[in-house]
Amino acid sequence: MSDITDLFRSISPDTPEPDAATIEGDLARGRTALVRAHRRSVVRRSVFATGTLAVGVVVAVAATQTGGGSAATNDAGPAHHIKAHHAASAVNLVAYTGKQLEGFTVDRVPAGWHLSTSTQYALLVTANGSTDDDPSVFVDKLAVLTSSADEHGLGPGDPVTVNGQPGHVDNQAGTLILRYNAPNGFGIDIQAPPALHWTADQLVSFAEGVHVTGDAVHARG
Amino acid sequence: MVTTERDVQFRAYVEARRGQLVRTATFLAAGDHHAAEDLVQTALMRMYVAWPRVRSETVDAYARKALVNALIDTRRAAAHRFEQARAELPDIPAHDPPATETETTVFAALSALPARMRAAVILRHLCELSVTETAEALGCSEGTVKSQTSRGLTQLREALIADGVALAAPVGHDEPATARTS
Repeated sequence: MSDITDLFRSISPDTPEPDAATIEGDLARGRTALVRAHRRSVVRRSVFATGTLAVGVVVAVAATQTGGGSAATNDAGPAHHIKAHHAASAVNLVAYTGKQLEGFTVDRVPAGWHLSTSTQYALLVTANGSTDDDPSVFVDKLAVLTSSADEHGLGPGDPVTVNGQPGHVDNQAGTLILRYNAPNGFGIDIQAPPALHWTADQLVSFAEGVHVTGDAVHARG
Repeated sequence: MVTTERDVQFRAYVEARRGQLVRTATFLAAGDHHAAEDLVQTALMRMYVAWPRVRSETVDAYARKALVNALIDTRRAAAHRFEQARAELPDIPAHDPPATETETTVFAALSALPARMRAAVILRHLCELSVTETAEALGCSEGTVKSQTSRGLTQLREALIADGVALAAPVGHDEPATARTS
């Protein structure tokens, strides 16, 4: 121990245990930062892909959150660690019979939501009534994106199975992020906004109805 | 709000370690309690984002590194403000704990050190980290840690002695003054 260490210790401030409000404040700031970080990464990827090769597919379907419809809720794997938000207010899945867009086809959509727009690397699903059809904005949208060809790994989250393929679901402040590998070799990210109030199983159920078509490409970025 | 495993683990960490982080941050901020709180909040916010990648056995090291990075970032962002002339002295918040004469002297001496040098001295002589651990926290070589610490201690002692602070004879941890920089 040095003379300076002695001196530092002699003036070291008392540091009481943090109270509950302080801890919750730290948690809230972390959650907010996490959402911002995720949105930045998704938008960056989208903008890059749009500006370069324009290859991939984005589909956003926004739902009015009115619920209802005939849910096609498959039991798709565990994800027990991801807790349901409020099952009663979750937007159910219903069979999709409308026009399919470039890059992907979907079997089911959230009730009251529709396919908004797509590219070869992303498909966006938005709530009926939403006027935001910007393919580079994912806020409050259900987004399906292909991963970059050089992007490997499933990222953080709890393990799930999507059509027999391994995946991970991560809850980032209410936004569920599913990453899995599609049978045709595409890595797929699906982002479900908090407005859907989905569980991991509901997200997996949606994912099992998503099919990457021949005109889809890997995102770049 | 959904509670995730990340939330549970993070909350437990904050509850157990926040006090220690505030203590270290207070020295890094040279006695400015508000700046110290800002450093801790920034570091914890970044830790939450990175939580899945933080291993439990290195979580404290990660926290120290996040604190130091927050200090460096803050210094960069605020550098221009330090050069602005003020007509009046800034108000000192009334709820800051009163500083003793020794505290005032020590923190003034610490504030005169460049941020990285101050961090090296604090990590070595307050947190009692090894040279290797300090180098990891600062993101530099061990030689740089030794050099920065040696110079920092010399400047610190000179300032403290000039202000009449009695120091025991230096023993143990001092870095070799001839340490190679790299």
